[in-house]
Amino acid sequence: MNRRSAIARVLALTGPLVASGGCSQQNSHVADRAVLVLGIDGMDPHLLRQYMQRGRMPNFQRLARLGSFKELRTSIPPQSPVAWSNVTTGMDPGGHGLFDFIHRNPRTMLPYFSMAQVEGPRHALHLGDWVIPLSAGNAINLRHGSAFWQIVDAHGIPATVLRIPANFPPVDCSSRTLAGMGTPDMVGTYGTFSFFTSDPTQQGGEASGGRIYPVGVGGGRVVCTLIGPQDTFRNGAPQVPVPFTVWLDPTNPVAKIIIQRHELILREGEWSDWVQLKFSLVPDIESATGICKIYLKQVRPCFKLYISPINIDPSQAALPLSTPGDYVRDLWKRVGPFYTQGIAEDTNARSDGVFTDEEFLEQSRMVMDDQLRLFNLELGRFRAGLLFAYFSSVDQNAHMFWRTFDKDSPSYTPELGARYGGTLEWFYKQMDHMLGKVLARVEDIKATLIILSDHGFAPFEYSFGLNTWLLENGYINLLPNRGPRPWDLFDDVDWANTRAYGLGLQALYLNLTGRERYGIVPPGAVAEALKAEICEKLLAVRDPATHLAPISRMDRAEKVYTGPFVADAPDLVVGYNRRYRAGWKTAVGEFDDEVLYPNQEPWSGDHCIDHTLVPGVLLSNKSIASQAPALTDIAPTILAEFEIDKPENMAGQSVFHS
Amino acid sequence: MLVFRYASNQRTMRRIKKRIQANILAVRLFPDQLGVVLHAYFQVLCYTFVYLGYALRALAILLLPMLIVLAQLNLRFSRLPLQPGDSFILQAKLMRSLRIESASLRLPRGMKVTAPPVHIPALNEVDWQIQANENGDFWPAVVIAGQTFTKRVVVSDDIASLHAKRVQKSLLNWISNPGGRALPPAGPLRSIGIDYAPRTIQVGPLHTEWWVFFFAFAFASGFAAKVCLRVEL
Repeated sequence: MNRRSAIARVLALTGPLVASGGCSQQNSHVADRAVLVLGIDGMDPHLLRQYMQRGRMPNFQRLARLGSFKELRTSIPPQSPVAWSNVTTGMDPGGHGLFDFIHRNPRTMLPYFSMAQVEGPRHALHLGDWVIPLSAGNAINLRHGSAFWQIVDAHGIPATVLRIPANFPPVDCSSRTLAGMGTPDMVGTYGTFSFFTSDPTQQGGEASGGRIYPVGVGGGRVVCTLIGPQDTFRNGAPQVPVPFTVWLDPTNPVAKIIIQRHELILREGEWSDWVQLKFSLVPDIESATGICKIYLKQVRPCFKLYISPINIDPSQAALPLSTPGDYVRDLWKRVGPFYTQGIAEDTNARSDGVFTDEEFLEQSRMVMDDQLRLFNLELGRFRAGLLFAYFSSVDQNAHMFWRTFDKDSPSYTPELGARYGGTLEWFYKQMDHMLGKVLARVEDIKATLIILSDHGFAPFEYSFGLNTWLLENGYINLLPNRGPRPWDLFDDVDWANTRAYGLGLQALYLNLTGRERYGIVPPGAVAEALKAEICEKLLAVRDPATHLAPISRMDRAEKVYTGPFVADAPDLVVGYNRRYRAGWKTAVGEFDDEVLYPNQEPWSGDHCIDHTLVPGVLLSNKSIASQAPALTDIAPTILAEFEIDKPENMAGQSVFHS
Repeated sequence: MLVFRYASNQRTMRRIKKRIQANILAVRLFPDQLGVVLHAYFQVLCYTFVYLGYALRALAILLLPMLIVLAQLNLRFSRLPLQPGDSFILQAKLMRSLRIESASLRLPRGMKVTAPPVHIPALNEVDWQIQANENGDFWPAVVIAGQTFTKRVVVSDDIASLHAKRVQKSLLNWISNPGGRALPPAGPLRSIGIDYAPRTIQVGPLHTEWWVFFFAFAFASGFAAKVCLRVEL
């Protein structure tokens, strides 16, 4: 396990937090009002208009005709955790403290996921191999500020919020909320799949989003071991193994899988239902349960079996997933098991070559079905108050299938276009179909309907290696004798001679004295001059292949952010041009091989670029008066619908008032 | 408690219990006299075994009816019947001398096979995945060597007596699987089984099996009855 993976594998089994109820003041005047908000991650206004013009989105057309359809200014940077936190709190990142998917600790210089952290118990008694915790563990939501539903809730208005990003663990309130993006799987990551294969050409070990296990087939039998969560009751917190057996039919492409008490038969290319697994931590005393789906990819000539990331079991949640605590179990009772992992579409399995496009698509449809089942349940019982639901399918499939309809994409082929070119449109149509039901309900109960996306989308055709550029331009210097080329920012860099570094998808930090552990750039005039110099140079870069500027905008934290957390912000936010984005290695503090190179990966659409190029959508059945609505206007808009005054720290205003 | 009361020698048990109490009293009265204390402890130990002997005689009488009751409860509460739409695996284990490819399946109306059978030569086993489409008692049949062997499958919302496995006749099977039809002893099949899901009972946050509640209830009511019926246990 490398260091970055180790950071990602946050302790997952530390006991649930106790969610306490919020205060409430009944406001009978507005108690009968209903506001329904649908958050469709990554819905792009240009694509939506295009599909509407083609007549493929009749319900969106109807809504735009009834009310309004406008572009929605997104966050800086336009990344989902940041953008949805703007929606949640009505503040910019300076107010809520989320600046990127990945943050770094300037004292240790180590990266961590920005949305949440799970900590083990602080005090424990060590007895031989065993560890007895003397205090409870803790899951911490790193987003600051009051969420709009907490304020609504405090005024006695019932609210239900499904899967809004950056709400793990769910913040305290008496309303029904279910955690969304940011929720880890049982091994403490944002999703680690397991892939068992007898293919000798497939290299075992860690892939970018999972583990590949080489296995042998003998006498029609395959013996495998699934690696579960860490056992925090043991010294060194080893991961709990779950051995299982697969019997292969000698002729039919079918297999029998025996895992714990479950026996299942899968045909080649078939998915199992959810399988509940029990991980024994202290034998017969303490255990944790998780759920996973098993996919038999191939029986012959090579055996290939995929097991999804082990999701926290909604029937016996090992970590807090909802408010009230038993809401998640209530949902499970009503709709059956569902994905609880924050980002459930397994894009990593597709990028790692474990899934084909077809397989990813099937898995992605299952995720959408889960989200729709949960939403339909809540829509059916929605009478008054606030209902918010989040949908991830458009975003995740725009990431993966952009190359199938964009002929400029380096990995586009006519065959790919013919087969999958309509995939993204299909997901838009599913949202339209869902909207049809919503409109009927909204008319029935006379609700205000707001549909928004956090950002739009753009092609991701070329990668920009920010750290490599900083290295080539003398802002990063390396330690001597470190091999032919640098690999890791934190292993190979000579911090005593480094002035700036990139970490996260759009963040650029100065190596500032007094902030960074080995800072050398004094704050003040020197730092300002360095920022100006880097901005000027980055904006002047031209791609020799396209003659375009890969970076179209640089934002300085102090100019675009306000609030108590501005000091934690990256010094510069890099706004990549359309068709460009940071290389994957830059995001985790590594060096790309080149500064500019074509993106050949299935992940071919993106939005982590210049925020002015990827606005989101805003639709409502009411007239939107605001000329340039922004994400930070959504919380004030919802509060205004319930005649609640917005708190002073909320930057925006109701979009229905001019 | 009533059976225990009349099946055991209550008067003798009461007398032995008083002797145990007397020896405990001796330990408390003469703690500084080592000889007395050791002798009292020895007496306590001996009388305890004698007491257990009297209790066990009554328990032996109760053992068989208890086993029958437990087996019947287990049949009804340890597994969940199938629901319409559920898939299950029907597993047939064949005698070693037979080729597993020769086994076939015959399904009643209301059931369908959802995957090709899995043949496992190493275990001489064939597994079929079947979907039940409606409520009722069904009798899918495994056909082998010209003989047909049926297995009852229950699809129901109610509590039902569920036999997970049909095996060849044996004493253990007679106790653990009461009422279940045995397979012929020299036939081609060793067993036919259904993977009914286990049933757990939830009380508050606790999920557990039926027997935990049964014994908890039995102990609590037993102690209550002991007092009311003045039974020496």
